[in-house]
Amino acid sequence: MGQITFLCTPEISREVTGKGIGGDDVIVWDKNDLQGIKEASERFSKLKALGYAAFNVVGGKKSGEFLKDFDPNVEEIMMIPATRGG
Amino acid sequence: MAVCEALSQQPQVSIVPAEETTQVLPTFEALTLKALCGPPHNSVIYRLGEDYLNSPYPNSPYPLIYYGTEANMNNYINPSSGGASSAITSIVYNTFTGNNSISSYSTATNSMYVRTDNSGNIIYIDSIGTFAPMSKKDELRERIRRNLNSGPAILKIRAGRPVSIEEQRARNLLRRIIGEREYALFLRKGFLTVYGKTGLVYQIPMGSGMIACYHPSKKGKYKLFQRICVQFVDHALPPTDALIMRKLLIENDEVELRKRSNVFPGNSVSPEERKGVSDFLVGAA
Repeated sequence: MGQITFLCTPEISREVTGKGIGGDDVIVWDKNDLQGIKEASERFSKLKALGYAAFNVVGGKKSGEFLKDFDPNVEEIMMIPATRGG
Repeated sequence: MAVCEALSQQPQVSIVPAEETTQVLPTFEALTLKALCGPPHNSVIYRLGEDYLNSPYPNSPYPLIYYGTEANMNNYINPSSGGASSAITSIVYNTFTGNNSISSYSTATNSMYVRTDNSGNIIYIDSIGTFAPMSKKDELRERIRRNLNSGPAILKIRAGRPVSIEEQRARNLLRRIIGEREYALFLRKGFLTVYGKTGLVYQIPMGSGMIACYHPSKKGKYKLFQRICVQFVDHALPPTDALIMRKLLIENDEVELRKRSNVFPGNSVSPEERKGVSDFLVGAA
């Protein structure tokens, strides 16, 4: 199983997963389910188009590296919305 | 005193639509503060018992741990006034999902449960098993320690304020990412300490405050090197999400963090040291 956890507002959550929850939302896929991987990949691309940055999370705790493309073999991906200097 | 009064508010045991919820929820923070601050209404919170069978983590060593007042304890351990088994079958309210069914165990993670016993008394259930009420001696020691080091603890600032469901979810996520120990420390201190790959140390405050970046000097002391300001383009996101974002950026790429931020020089590093660290960061890129 793989998972994308992304920080979001209810509007973004509704747009990407249809759930409409805020704080954070998740996209889960099964590594043996090609259709599920395809859907997760599409949602990943949608988030990237919205300006999100993706990180590979290692061991559920430490973040590893920036991800440019969707990798179905990654255990957990964390995505954060667009940022700017304050 | 105001903090204790805020904490003494009993949580509502009812189903509330998740998207519309803006109420004071009985959070892990509230329970932690209750232990630090002292129980309200002169009541003592007891550790009532453990329940491995109904744990949300069936394959882990973490039990559900029940906490309650003396009245709860009498109900819990004395068969003539209800008994443990009948108490377990009463209502369980999941503060994370808003679900009050027992089946919420299988889907909830990192949640605090609240249950009423047969007499309608509230019993707190910690699904992780890390919270425990302090002894009188430890409580006194903790109070002295806090008085000596009155840092900007988030709980003091935010206690009693309504917590939106988005913010609650964000705090649960942070708790999952950094672990129980770090989270408890974060609640007490009011900031998160993150170590960058370059050796610099960052203090991230709650909310929209600037990141303080420290550089270790030759004497082993840390000096304020930079203040870094980065925020979401969309301001509708909860403050704890901003903290998670800054933590991820620091851990991944400190140079990228600075590209995305406004950076201000600190005032306790000499120009030579500043140049040295700047060169180091450029080299790390």
